[in-house]
Amino acid sequence: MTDDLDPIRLLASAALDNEATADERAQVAASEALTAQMEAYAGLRDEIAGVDVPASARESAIAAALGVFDAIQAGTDVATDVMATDVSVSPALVAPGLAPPEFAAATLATAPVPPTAPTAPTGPSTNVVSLHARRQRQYRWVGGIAAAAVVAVVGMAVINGSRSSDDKSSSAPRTESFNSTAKASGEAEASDQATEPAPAAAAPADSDSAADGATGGQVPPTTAAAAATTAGATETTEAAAEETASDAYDPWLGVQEFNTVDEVVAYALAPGSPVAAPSLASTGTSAETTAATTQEGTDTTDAADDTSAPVTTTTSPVPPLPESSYTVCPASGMQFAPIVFVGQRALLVRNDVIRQFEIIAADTCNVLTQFPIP
Amino acid sequence: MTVSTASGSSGSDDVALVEAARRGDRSSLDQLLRRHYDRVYSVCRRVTGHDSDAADAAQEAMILIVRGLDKFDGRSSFATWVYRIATNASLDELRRKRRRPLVGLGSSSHFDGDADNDPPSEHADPDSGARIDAIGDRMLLDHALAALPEDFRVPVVLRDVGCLDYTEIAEVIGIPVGTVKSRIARGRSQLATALGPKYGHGAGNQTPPSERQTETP
Repeated sequence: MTDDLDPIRLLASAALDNEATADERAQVAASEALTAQMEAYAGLRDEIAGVDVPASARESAIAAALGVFDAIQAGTDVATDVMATDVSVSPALVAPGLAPPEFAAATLATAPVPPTAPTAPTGPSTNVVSLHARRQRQYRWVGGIAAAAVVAVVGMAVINGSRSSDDKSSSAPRTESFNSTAKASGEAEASDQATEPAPAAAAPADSDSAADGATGGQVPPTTAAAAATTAGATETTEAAAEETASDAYDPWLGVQEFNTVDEVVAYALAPGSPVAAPSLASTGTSAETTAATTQEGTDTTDAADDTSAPVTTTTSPVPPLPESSYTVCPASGMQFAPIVFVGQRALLVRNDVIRQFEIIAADTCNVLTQFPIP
Repeated sequence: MTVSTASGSSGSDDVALVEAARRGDRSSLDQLLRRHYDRVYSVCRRVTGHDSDAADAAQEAMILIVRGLDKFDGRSSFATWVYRIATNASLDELRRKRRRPLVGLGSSSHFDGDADNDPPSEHADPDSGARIDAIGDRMLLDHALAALPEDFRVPVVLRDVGCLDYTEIAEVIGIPVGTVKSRIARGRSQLATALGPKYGHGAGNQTPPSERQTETP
């Protein structure tokens, strides 16, 4: 503020706080105005200090803190990010270089406190979550709901696809990632609420035909683990799936990245490319074809799916994909594959109408570039 | 429960409790936290201006205290350390919500003392009138605090609610003691102006120039 501070008020304020010198205190005592001002400030101070503290908030906060203490003592406290972020000094308040050392120490207290003489909690058992985690949990709910919606839509599409298997025009083969989408929609996942595939781990990419298995539904709960084992994934897949269960499904997870059009051209024209064959000609693509596509296309895209979806050897057609956000850009029946093009999420679309491959920005559906289909 | 301004905890007791808590004594930690919670909440309440934000910030502060207990080195008092955490938790909470406390009550011009010129209202229940007045006073105070710049609000709150001395406040905020002194005085002056003549700063209620020439003993 730029207003001039009345020295009377400065003196009255300091005197109220016992921060005035003896001379200043004498001045205050000798002046009725100063004394009155000091008394007025005292009344103001009392009003400011008069805060009603809700008992429920107190108990909740202390229980939360003791819960953290218990976790630290047990060596299971991992939520150290709260400390790292929330005890940062206010830039607006602190003059440069004046941060006190113990505050810096508090700021740096990000590592879990080593357990020293652990003792069993004596208080009531509390299931306390930090505010940070509570906020994160809210987002997880949103993400979970969104994921469940995606799974439901995909599942419906899969069912519809299997019902209308005679109509091959809408069931052109997709890339392994999209097949993986179908896999992820398997009822087995939906039933146990593990709605998202795990991130790419190290699984071979020969599991595309799992999509066909998923179309039939009724996947035993243990199938995913068995399939993952079959595919060479580790037994930690379920844990990995749990870790990522709160994250929204990302069809671009692990897809190939290209930085030049030439690279995309080579990819599009390669044998077994997901966009190599005309749409109509590719209807009824067998699982073997899809598997070959997987092996020759992306190597790691299905690793995540292997953790949550079965690998089968059925040969039913690849199911159609739902009209979700990443399938609205290409027209119906067009072959397309998700790619990352110059760092941007995109779709490689085979447009047989104009005889062009198109690279379309996934978020805007704008055609970034195109090149002819030979 | 209303927090008084009187200091409620002894520094030496705090150190003993901290040491016991570090050794894993849960009950000592519980005692330590209970000893400081009300004041922490009060600081958070006055800085954030919201009950719920204050509860969140105070809980966050409690958790941060527990996590940082091993880092407390005793060079400052435990209370100072605690209020530093509480202050920053409150400011973080404010920034997280991206709002100023008590937005929407109007400009500070509402608090220029004109209320005293309004005709007195009549209440069927005399007690309800008093309650309404009390609520109104709290709202006025909340709004006045909210209108106070953060640089002034925090020192005033730490002084009047946390009962920290200027040196401790300087340590908490990281500014010179002289700056603390002037910020508190400015803050109080602005608060008093906003709240009206009751606090000696009503409309036009400036100290007469004659009074500024204080006598020397």
